[in-house]
Amino acid sequence: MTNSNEKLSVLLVEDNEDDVLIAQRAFKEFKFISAVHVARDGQEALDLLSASGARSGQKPLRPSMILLDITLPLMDGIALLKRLKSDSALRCIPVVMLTTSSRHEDIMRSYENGAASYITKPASLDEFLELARKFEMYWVSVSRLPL
Amino acid sequence: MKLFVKIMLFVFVIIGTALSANVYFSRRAVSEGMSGQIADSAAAAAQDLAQDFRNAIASGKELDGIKALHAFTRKTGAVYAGMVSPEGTVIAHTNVALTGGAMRDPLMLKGLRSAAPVSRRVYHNGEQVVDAVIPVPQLRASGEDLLLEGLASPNAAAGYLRVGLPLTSARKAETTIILNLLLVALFIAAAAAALSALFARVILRQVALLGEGIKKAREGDYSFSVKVISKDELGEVAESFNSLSASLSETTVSKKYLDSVLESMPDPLFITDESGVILTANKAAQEFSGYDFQPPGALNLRDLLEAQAGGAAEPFGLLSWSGRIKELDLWFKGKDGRRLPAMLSAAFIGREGRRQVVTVLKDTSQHKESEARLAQYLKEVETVNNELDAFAHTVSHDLKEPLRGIEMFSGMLLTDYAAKMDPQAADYLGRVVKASGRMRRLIDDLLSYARVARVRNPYENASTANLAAEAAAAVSALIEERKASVNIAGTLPELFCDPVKMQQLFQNLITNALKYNDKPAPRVDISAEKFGEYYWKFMVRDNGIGIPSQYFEEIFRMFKRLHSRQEYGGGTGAGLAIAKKIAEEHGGKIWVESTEGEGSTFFILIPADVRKKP
Repeated sequence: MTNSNEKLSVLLVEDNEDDVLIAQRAFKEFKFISAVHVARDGQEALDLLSASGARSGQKPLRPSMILLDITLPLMDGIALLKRLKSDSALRCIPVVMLTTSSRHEDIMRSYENGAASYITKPASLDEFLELARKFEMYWVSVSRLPL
Repeated sequence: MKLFVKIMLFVFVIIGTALSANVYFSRRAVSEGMSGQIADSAAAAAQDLAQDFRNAIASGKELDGIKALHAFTRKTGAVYAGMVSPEGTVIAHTNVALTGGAMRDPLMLKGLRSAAPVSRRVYHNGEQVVDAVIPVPQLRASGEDLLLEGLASPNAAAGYLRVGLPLTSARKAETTIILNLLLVALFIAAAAAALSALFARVILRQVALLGEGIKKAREGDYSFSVKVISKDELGEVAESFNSLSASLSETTVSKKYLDSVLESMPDPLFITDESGVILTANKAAQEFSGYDFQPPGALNLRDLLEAQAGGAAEPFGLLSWSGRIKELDLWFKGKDGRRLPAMLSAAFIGREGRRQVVTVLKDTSQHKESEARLAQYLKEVETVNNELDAFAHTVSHDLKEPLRGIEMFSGMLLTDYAAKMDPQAADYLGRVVKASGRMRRLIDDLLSYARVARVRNPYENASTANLAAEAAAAVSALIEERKASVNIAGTLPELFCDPVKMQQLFQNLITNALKYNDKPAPRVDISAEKFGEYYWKFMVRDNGIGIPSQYFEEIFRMFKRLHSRQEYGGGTGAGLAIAKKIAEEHGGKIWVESTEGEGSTFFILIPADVRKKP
């Protein structure tokens, strides 16, 4: 089983404040997720990860995984995904798409561009909590992350 | 009037010939008579001088003869005279050179054999004279002598006179007679000609009337009857003609009648030869095309038809191949260059070798217009429908966003703060959570309903047995929960369809059958059978609560529910509406038959292959 010291840090790229709150609330229940970082758009996420722009001079963020929405202002989720997967330093971070869309073509585009998983946002809190439980089970207990 | 001229010519020839013959023969008879008369009067003169002649003949002395002849010529005015012995020797002659010679010419020989004078007409020194042989009789001594002489030689003459007697006196009488004869003949000829002309006129009048009647009949008027003015053969012909035209008018459709039918036809009609040359076109054809089609044969119908698109058969080729054309859609080239839509039908008339083609066009411009308008309306309706679907999708998608917030935060409030709340407040908050959840499901269903039309998956051949099994597998949790059984018959066919939607259809019907079921062991039977040539009929039968018959149609309406939200799992009432939309999108139909308390059967008709529509 996973060492309790190896806690997960997550970067949530999400522009909707409500969804940020809900996700933070859902992941708060679980002890293995140590920190949830939030970026409001693709560019901000890139700045965090590569210590550029507004974040220049700071230590680049290295989350255990990235939760990525598709509909984002300026640089959208798919564009960011492409950038991440073309960057040798960031390529190994698993990206899980977390979006309201259940469109087939969004799913296809995501996997084609290297997404590790694709999750449709649950509609109710109960479902979100259930999802978070399953999520932790998989990513912490079953899968090995490049920590 | 040619016939009249012919008849008159003929009459004139006959009358002319008859007149000429008459004049010729009359003239001959008159001149012969006159000649005889002159010869006879000369003979009478000779009778007076008979003794002198006999003496001279008896003596044979020329001088005696000359004297007697002299007396004779004085008496008769003879141009020449000679005395001939019974043997034919000239005893004396006014032309003394002939004396002593023999006379053997035909008239002399004829005279020698005759007891009466013979004569003929000759020209002597350029003058016509009567050349006559007059016998000089023997002396009659007594009756006995005469008898004896007569017995011995009845024709015996003492000698003969050969004389040339002048015609001058006779000439005038003769000419007068001939002239009179000629006048009479001319009068008769004129009368005959006039009568002939009159007769010919009378005959030809009937012929003219007949000719007029035939002309009318040729123009197609059989009602005309020829006036019968003579009771002869021509009259009979006229009567026969009348009865012929009468029976024709009863039994035959006249040309005039046919012409008026063609002219008054509202559709363009052409009569062409086999190569398409237009011989006749009716008024409608002229109005339709703008051409006047004069003179006949000036235009070829093939040149006026636009080449068929897509290699379709050329109408005349098609006609000679199949013998007739029925309602061929094509374009006609009008005189003003416009393209005129028309439907062409054509057939052959007449015998082989002299065949013609009757072509009738149907002006389909109005038809085409309304067709185009209909297509336009359909397009508009489709656009509006698509817009509506897109609108529904967008609206429900956008509605979902804030709704998620309401549901989430009320859920969070309830989860995190319920313990600190007034129980009443917690109950209200619980209702907010439920209501927002229900609204979300309604929106989701609306979205999936809109998706049926909006999302078009490619059609492919799919096993409906597999699709039904997949549908059952998708609701396996519900099946398990209800301890139900879903039986799929092996008869379910392969179908050319949108497999995703067909599965959705089965899933909705199975869900529906299980949800509205109060039996301890719910059962769903899915089967199929062929329905006619083109359709498959699927049946989804359950042993559920059934549906009152007055709702058989209403249940397929969006969000129509027959039960309260608390009963039967509280669906939104979209499942059957979506099922109906899927069936209709496949060109099919859906309906239900049901007995309350026993169960329902949903019937779905789907074309076996939408590409081969009946």
